[in-house]
Amino acid sequence: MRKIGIATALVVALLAGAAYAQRATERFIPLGQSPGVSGKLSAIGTIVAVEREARRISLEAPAGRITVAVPESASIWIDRHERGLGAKTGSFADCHEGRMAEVKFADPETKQVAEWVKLRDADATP
Amino acid sequence: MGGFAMKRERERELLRRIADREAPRPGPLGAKSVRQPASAYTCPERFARERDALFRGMPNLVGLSAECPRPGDHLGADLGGVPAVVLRQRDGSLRGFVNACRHRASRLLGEAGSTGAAIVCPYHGWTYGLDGALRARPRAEAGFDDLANRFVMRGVPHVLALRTSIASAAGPRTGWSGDGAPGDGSLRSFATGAVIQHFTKTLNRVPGVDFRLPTDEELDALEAFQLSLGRQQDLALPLPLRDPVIARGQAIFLDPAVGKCNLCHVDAGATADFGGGNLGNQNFDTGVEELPDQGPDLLGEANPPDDGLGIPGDGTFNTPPLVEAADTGPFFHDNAVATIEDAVAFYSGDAFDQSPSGRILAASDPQGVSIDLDATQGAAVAAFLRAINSLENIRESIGLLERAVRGGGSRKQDARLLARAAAETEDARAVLAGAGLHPDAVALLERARALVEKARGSCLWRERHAREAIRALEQARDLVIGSS
Repeated sequence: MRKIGIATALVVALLAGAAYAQRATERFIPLGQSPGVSGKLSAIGTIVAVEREARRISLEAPAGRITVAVPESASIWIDRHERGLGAKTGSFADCHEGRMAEVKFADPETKQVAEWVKLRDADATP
Repeated sequence: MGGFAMKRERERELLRRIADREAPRPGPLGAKSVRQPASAYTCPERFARERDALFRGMPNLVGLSAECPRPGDHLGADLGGVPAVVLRQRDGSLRGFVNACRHRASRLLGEAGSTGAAIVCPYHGWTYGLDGALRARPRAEAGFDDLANRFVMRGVPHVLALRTSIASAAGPRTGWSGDGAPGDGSLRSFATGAVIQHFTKTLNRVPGVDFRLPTDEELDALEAFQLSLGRQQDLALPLPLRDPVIARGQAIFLDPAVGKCNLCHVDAGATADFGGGNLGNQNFDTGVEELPDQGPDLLGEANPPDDGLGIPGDGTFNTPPLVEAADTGPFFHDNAVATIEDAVAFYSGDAFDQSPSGRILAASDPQGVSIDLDATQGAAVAAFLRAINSLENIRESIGLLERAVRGGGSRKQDARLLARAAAETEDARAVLAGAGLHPDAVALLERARALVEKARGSCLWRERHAREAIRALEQARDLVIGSS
């Protein structure tokens, strides 16, 4: 019984801590080149719609149109490496229609919520 | 001519003195002369004592105040090994500082000159006012923006037995937070994060400019290499240990009502099992951050709290495997304690008791106790951890020697195998000798080490010495562990 008690208590405690991929270095990886993520756990495409109040964006990706929520907890970065500049922290205000973006899904099964968003530098050569 | 005669006489006297070593040799001051041994000029300990006596703990002359007439003018000096700088302030006063940046301790100012209105570290550009106050930290987005909360120092964890220790239901966990890789967070992606973090030319971290991202082939190769390091499988406890104290330590380790160690370190590895099956590698908040006498705090250094996994952190840190622990201290994410004995004792202290993990353990205990080992029990658990560490070193060393004996590799490869075998053998010896365990096995390990060194230095007898070393290692192992 004691073992079961420990198991219940600690498993509940552990469920709160899902594994993270390291965001501190992720921001510096160019759009579309994240190892194990790009093309598997993310969608890459052009932003075709932005719902500001609902914090949702829609992408036109090769696999079709996809709409994801971008919660406050999601990191947004601007990939400026094409201009020889370091990555920059962005905000939801930087999500504009026509901009290239990569969205990593918090849950790759449902594909409804973003864990992070990388935006292509607006000044990059198209 | 007279002068010449005098010189000849002096010459003869000097020659006599050189020839007669036992005779007293008065110096230029006659009987008052003091002879200095040569070590007075070469002994580092004496140098340190002289430096302390002459230059520390008392005022030192750095220069004349007239040499620093305007605000920002400065004079640098080495005060007994401490770099110092005296700086003219805006109000006309002079102030002295340690001439080192608080970021990476780079020297801030040269010997003399003017720094203008501010001091800028040449290394990473941290900027200070003339009063020494930190004014700016460029590249704040790289992690330097919130010194009070985000700038933490973590120990370097060992990377042995990764194959057995990082898998969990939530994904692979690497590093002290369990979030050690970008991308999918896998061990394969770990190298990408390492390149970005550590091998960048500048803190701009622009891919293609400051670093090159590893290719898929390189990531595959590096993952394979990392997985090849150390143990490839977990132990199967209990082991038939010969020493009664070490065996007692193992029993306490495994007992879910006493040591409770095996709950989070199944078979002394890095996976957890609370009775419902193996949960894989996990993170816990064990209260290490709450230890009362943290070294940096005692020294008055900035010691911001480390909040563990996530942003903001949840206070948890990753569980490392214990088989390799005893000789890879200091321990815990912040190198809080030095020895394996201290690390075991931590779990019977207040910091663990009051931690989330300690409270959960206590809530599940009929007596409401988390972990409460007395001194002899704690020492026995530490002795057990030392023993399994030594056995792992012996296993690794034997494997390396067998590969070297088997041949097939280049001469350079064999030399590397022997060098690693020597290091592993020394580790096996030191971890036992460090607590006075198994002196008989320690003697054999010393012999094995000597034989490996002979093998390294011999072309003709290399194989013979290596085989003898293997035998000595096997004998040492058999003294620690019997046949099951």
